[in-house]
Amino acid sequence: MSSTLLQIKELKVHFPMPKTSLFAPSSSAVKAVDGVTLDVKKGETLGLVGESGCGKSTLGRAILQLIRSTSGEVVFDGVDLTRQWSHRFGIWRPKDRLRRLRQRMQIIFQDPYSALNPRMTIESIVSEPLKTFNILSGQALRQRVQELMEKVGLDPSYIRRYPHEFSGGQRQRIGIARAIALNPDFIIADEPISALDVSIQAQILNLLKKLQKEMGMTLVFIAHDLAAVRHISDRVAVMYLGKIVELGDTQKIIYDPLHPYTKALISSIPVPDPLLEKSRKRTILEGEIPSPIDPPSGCAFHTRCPIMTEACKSNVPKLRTISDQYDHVVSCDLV
Amino acid sequence: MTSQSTSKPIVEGTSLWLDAWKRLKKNRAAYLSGIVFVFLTCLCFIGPFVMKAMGFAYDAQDIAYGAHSPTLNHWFGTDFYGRDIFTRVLVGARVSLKIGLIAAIVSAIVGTIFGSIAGYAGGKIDNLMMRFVDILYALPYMFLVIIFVTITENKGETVLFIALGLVGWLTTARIVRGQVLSLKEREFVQAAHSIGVPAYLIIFRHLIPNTLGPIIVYFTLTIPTMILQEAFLSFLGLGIQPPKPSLGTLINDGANHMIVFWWELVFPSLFMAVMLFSLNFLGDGLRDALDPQMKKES
Repeated sequence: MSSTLLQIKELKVHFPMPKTSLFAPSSSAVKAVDGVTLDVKKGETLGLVGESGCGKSTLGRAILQLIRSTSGEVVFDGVDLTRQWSHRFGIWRPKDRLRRLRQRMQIIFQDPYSALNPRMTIESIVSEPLKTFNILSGQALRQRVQELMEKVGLDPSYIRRYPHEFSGGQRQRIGIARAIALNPDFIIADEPISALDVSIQAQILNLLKKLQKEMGMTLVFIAHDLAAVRHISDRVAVMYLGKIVELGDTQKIIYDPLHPYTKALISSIPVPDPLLEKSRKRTILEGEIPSPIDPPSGCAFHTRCPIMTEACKSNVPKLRTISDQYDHVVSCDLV
Repeated sequence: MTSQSTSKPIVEGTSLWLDAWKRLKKNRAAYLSGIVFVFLTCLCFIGPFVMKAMGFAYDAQDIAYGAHSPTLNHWFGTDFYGRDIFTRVLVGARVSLKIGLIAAIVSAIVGTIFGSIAGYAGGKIDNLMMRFVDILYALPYMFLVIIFVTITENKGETVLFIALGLVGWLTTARIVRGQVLSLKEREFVQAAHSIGVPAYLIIFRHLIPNTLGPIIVYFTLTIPTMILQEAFLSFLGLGIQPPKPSLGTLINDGANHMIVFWWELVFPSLFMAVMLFSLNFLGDGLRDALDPQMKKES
């Protein structure tokens, strides 16, 4: 198997809550990411799925150091990114090494409407990474921008236009052009298609797939449903309340899920056949996702789990390897 | 925009600024006010030279002629010393405008930089910086300016610029900080972080251009405030010193003689009112044109 590009070890991101009163004993925290351990291999596409609020976007941002993590390590190509910060005068500043590494890792955002600066032309948006690292200038820079526009399927003569003159799908393409401008090794796509029309979603997915193949990038694809992820990912990680509950080969996860939460997610994908859709048995989760401020004891999923036992309320399940061949790990004591 | 690798010519986009300009042009009151304001400004800056060439210098006295109501020769009449009031109003308005503009510019620049740094840094630094602003806010504004003007004992224009600008930036700083606080959570700022754009460039390239709308509006509305305040200071005798006129001193003089020489009060006051009205309408129109809520924001 190929080598590892990114190693995440026991990563935690806790957001401290403001104290409710001056005399409150200690402030609580939103445990958005609560101990995630994950390896991403070179060249693969890893799908990251989970409900809204399970911490998947926070995890993505913490990997790229857009949010500072509370504890744990993010090792990118042998460098622990969480240590590439210096603290002076009460401000955290990235060290030069982190700035340089940023050339190799990029992010594509969920909302194409807020991801582009409305006051800048497409040319200045797409060329900003190239300018920041002084890679190109002048005519060569413009040519590179037009090349990138073509690569993501936009008309290169539009470079002097502004973001508000484009549709959502086109803006997402501009966001992608900016992300691939530096030829990064690693891209996090943070729900890149969930804000788009269904007809555009497939286009963007295919574009990402094509670019990944052409450029040999490693991709972490974040989504809130498995339907999109299954088409693009080699492996899938399922998150629940800041933790990974199941991880494995895409085929394995789709056709032979073990964790009850994954099963519920899979059964929520509609089948495009009305007869089959009516007859199949669906697991529907009751209730809401618990608050990450005060997660349930034991297994965090026990409040909604259909196969819950008394032991689940107290025992915290560990990630267990089920099969080495499919890299299949699951955190449930009952399967 | 020439020599392209592609055959198609590059399409020029419409920036949000251009859009705003188009909307402003549609707003008749604002557009007209803009024209009036530009006209008055030109008049103030060119007029006095023309008048001087025609023999009506602002400080040329003709005590024998004395105060006289408007005639064809002296459109706004003359004052006690026989000075042409029209010329004096133009020169006075020029001084007032200069002070208003420069004080407003100083306060806009200082406020923008201060506010954007506070908002961007956040946390303790933000707290410290904004508490400083709060303290200055708590001090009586005019009192501060008066003390400043009195201490320096220099009653020229420069002191007025500094004194008015010094306290005028507080509101701008607050507006900008508020804008920056919400803007810095937007994804395009995170995108800039992720491509390693240094902090100062994030502030100047991404944050400030997006706060410029409210800044410009506040700026146009600050100018009349500054002019009024200058007038007030001059009225108290702390501003511009005679024989140099400013709108404030002219109105002050006029107010002293208003029962006898009504024209000494009416014309400077009218001139000032028209100027302030046009600026306020222009500011309102700019706000409508630049307000992102008015349009389906991108």
